[in-house]
Amino acid sequence: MSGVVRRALRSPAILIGGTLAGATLVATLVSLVWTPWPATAIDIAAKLQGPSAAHLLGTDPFGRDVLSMLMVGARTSVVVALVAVALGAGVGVPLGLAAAAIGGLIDDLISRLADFVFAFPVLLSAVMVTAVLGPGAVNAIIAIGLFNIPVFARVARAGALAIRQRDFIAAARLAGKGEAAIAYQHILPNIAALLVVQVTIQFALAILAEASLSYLGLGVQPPAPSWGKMLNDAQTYMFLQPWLAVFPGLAIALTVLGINLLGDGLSDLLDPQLRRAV
Amino acid sequence: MAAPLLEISDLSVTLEDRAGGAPRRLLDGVDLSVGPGESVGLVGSSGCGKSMTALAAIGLLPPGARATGSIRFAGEQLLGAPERRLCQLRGRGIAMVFQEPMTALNPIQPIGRQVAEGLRRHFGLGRAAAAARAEAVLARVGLPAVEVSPKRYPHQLSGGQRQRVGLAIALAARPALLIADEPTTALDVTIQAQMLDLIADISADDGMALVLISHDLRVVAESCDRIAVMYAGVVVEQGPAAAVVGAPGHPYTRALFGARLASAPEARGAGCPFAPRCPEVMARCWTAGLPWGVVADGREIRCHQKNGDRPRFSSGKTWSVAVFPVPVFLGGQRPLTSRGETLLAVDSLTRVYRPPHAAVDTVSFTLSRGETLAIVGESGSGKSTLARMIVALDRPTSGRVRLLGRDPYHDRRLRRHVQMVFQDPYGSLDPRWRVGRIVGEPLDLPKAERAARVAAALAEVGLPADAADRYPHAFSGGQRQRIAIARALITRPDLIVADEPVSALDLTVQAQVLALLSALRATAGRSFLVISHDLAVVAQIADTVAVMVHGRIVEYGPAQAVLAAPLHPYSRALAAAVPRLDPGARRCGRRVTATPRSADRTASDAAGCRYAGRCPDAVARCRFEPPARRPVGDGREVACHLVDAPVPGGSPGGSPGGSL
Amino acid sequence: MPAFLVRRLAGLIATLLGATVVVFVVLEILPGDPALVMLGVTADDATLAALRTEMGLDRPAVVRYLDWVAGLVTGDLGTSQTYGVPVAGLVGERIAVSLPLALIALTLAAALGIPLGVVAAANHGRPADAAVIGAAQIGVAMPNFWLAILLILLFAVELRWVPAGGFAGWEAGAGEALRSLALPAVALALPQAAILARVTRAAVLDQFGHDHIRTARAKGLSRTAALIGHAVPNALIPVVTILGLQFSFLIAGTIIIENVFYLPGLGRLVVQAIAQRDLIVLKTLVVLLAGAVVVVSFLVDLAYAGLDPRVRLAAAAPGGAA
Repeated sequence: MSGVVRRALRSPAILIGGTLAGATLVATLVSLVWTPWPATAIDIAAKLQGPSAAHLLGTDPFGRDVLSMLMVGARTSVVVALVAVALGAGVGVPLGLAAAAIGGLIDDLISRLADFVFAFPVLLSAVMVTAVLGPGAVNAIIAIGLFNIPVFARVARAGALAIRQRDFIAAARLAGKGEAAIAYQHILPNIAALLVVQVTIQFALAILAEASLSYLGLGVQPPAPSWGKMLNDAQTYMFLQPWLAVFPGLAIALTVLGINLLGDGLSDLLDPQLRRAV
Repeated sequence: MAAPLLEISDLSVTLEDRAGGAPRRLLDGVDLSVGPGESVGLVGSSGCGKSMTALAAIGLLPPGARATGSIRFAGEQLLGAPERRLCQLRGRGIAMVFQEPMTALNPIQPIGRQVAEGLRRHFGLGRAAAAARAEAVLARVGLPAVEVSPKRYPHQLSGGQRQRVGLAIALAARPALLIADEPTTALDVTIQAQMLDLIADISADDGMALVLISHDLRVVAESCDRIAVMYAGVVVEQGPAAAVVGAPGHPYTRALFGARLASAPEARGAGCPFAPRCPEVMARCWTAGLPWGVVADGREIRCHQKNGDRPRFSSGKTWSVAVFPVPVFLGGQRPLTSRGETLLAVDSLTRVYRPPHAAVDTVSFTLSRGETLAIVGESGSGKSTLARMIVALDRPTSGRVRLLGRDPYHDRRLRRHVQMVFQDPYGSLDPRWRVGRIVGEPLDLPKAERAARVAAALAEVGLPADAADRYPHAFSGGQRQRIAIARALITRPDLIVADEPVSALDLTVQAQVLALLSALRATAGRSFLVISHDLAVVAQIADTVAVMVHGRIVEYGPAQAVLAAPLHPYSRALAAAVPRLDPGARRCGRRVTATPRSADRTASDAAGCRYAGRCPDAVARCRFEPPARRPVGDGREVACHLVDAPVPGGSPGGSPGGSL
Repeated sequence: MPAFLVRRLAGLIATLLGATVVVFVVLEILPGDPALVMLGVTADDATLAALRTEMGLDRPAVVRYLDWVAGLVTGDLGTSQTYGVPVAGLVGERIAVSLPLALIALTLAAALGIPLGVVAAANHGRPADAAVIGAAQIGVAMPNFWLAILLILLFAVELRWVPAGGFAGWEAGAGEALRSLALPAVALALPQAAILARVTRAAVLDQFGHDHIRTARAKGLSRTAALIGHAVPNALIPVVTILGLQFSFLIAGTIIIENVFYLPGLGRLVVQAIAQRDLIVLKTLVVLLAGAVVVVSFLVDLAYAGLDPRVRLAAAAPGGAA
């Protein structure tokens, strides 16, 4: 195991990615106890300022501190993405494992269902959920989480099907193990690397999706700050203060870049294992 | 001797380590020369550098590999030659056939186009002209357009047919030298024999030089004028085929003939790479470099023993120890004077995956306590499906399996009475589990008791007790197979089913694992069912043999009788196809395989005998009436219309190359 | 018609019908009283009753559903609550913006991403490869609406080459209309091109590891000839699958990009319909967009069969002539 850690520390993708994603995580945690300014404190006198010593990243049309808003916005992004991915993996992985284990009609049903959900891209399902529940963070979580379920179900199913071909599964059966025990003891550990990589991919996509939803006003509602909403406001004022359009976008892009790099690095690191497994 | 066509001297290849470690040395001063029209066999276990030598010769080393030394083709230096020049030579000067027929062809291009491509490239032919020539080349390798259209795609062909396409691609531009890298390893024995004949014929007709690479000494011995033996990136012995086979000089060459080897890691020091495993190692082997020693019969050996101090292996002296890969009876069969209690009864067992074709077709036999039955057949004959049904991993379509009188598919408690050893030791052990947990998996016992049983089982298969704490990747293929055997032993089952237990292992390791299985048969009351395509394996371990083809058992009886004088046409073809240590047999036409009519391995329609379509002796009756299995004396049963009278123990006669 | 086509077509229709059921249940049954949702709690009883009658809410749900599906087929989709015009006309008008936008973006993404991926793979480990990987990493990470805003800042605000938003309309001439679609198409296409470049690069590199490329080289083909003749055609098979998946991202993308650029397309209509709680327009729009995704993935399956003889022949076999 220590060999894996040492190799991880030598991988530039993991180092850079870890730093970028880590920065967002730290900002999220710090925002719980401290922000440079209160994120929702309106100060019309100080509106639309560029970066300065007092406001490192400037202020918005209401004079709110952009850095503070970004920190609190990070919290929204991370929480929504985390819950949505957990929902997707938590429901999808067992479904995929079950489809692979039971096969036949159940497998067909789960696979069809997965195909079906793919017909509704995140934004489209968010539109429907909003129509019923009204906009909000929960709405974003449900829409993104729903779309993640079939993604994880497919990955888990494909991985499980590949592993189930291997003779050690037959040996486990001869040892008297049932399907559930085989799935938990043999298949899950062998597809874990695959799932970890998929989690990073979906996490990055979830951050992007959350930003899109809040840009359209379908996600977190004001006055709670969110990166997408900040960009929407910025567009209105971009002739007056172009900086407003720069920092929230950078925050999103760097966070997503970080997670993607982390995923690539992990997938390279685990590649021999992925290859051996599937 | 004429000027060599290919002359490799002092070739070393290193591969840089992607993780940033020290480069790995794959080849270490290889010398090899091939004259015009000459055939040279390159033998060694997997990973010894045979393929790397071939890839270096054709200039297709993997990325990150660096070669030093010299490779001359018709006098021209190839190492460092410009890529343009190498492209001109590939296919035209040196061509190559690869091992895996399933992946060596482009899956989305018709085969005719793939053959024509080289022609267009080298001769500037137009599309139509190249297609016509490609058709001729395909016909020459046994794929005439009337039978196999050049418009077909690789996935529509059988493995043997695909390998023929691979050969056609290589032969298209009439190369001066053909390198064939394990061209038959992935094929069934009977197909393998046809393929080797074809390669030998064509190289003789065209005066084409041949380098045949194989892990199987028998294969190269039959087809080649000269043999070079490689070990750990070094050619350790080379010389005329007859000399090398007649009196193997280097200890490793002798190991290929079945001598026992220590399974030590291949540590690399200054001295001989084989020293850690050599049974005749001397002090200086560890330190001194390896000079070539020339023996009188034109052979060269890289071994200190051969350089003066003990000239034990002079030419002309025949190696006297029983030569392993030839099926000799190493006390394998025990006389079945009294058959014990019936342990396993299989009755009209049938498995249909895609109707109407039955993978296993009304198979019946019984297995007594203490008996070892071997089921022999080619891939696709249904033998593995049969095994899976017996251990209840698969469900019969019809018919019955009775273990101790009960049905193992429905009676879960029976599972501890039967265990299985799988073919691939890399796939049969969960890479995420420690060996102790793997071996103990079938046990439902308290921890301490389980640990004791695991330790005992590991000891029984010859593994140290501390193996239990390690993961499978720390073990070699042979050791992994021992772990798998330990797992099968741990429930103290009545029956162990072994599906191709040694076919994934190197020859030298095969011998050890077979010896272990053989020894385990001694335990009273334990029965074995061994599935194999390899008659040499069967000969060593079986009491009884059942020959299976297209889902049916066509011959069944005591191993001695079936192997010594096979009766069914398929058994005879199988026996005749087994490569033998007969130097140059194929080259001088001494060895001609009775070629079944069609190269395609397809079963005939169910109406008559399933083998009729391939049988060289088939008569009209065979096509309409399925032959029943009938006793023919000497305890044997055969399903064939052509074998009618009980044979009084002697050879049935009338079949060339029938005896093993 | 080959049997496999019939089977796939039946699957397609089943999926489309399933989509209509889901949309109907979510938008008409779950909210309880759609009329109340549309008008809000402040609406007076008379208006509510009028709308209920107009929407036919007094009829059983099954009848309403069948009526709506029949309308989807015949084009009679009712009248928009907010716009007061027939939904069919509204949708037709908006498609004239969204469809060209999605097609231009898809073409742009493919024309940019696939060649870049091939070039990167051919120069594996060299600066060209690193440059493509780096650019693709950034492209994948950038949200398309932020990219859109940056493009507006640069090309519309600074350089004034193109309008910052709005749509000139096709009647203003194709050139003028395309000018207003240029930035949106680029903003949509770049992230997708980045994904395509990565997938193509990986697929081509994967092909390099295959034995048949070695066979091709052993025939005497140069590296480039083996790349173009053997590696790329095989690599395109997985790339086409991704291309199909990307269409669903593009659909989602148009929803957001049309809002950034104030383009009067389907995507903007969706967001407007939500804001105005116009369920009549919304349910038809959602079905239309989901249907587009399903139909494209069906077309991709067909393309797959065209590219890969293994799929084509295996699929055709049960139908008779193999």
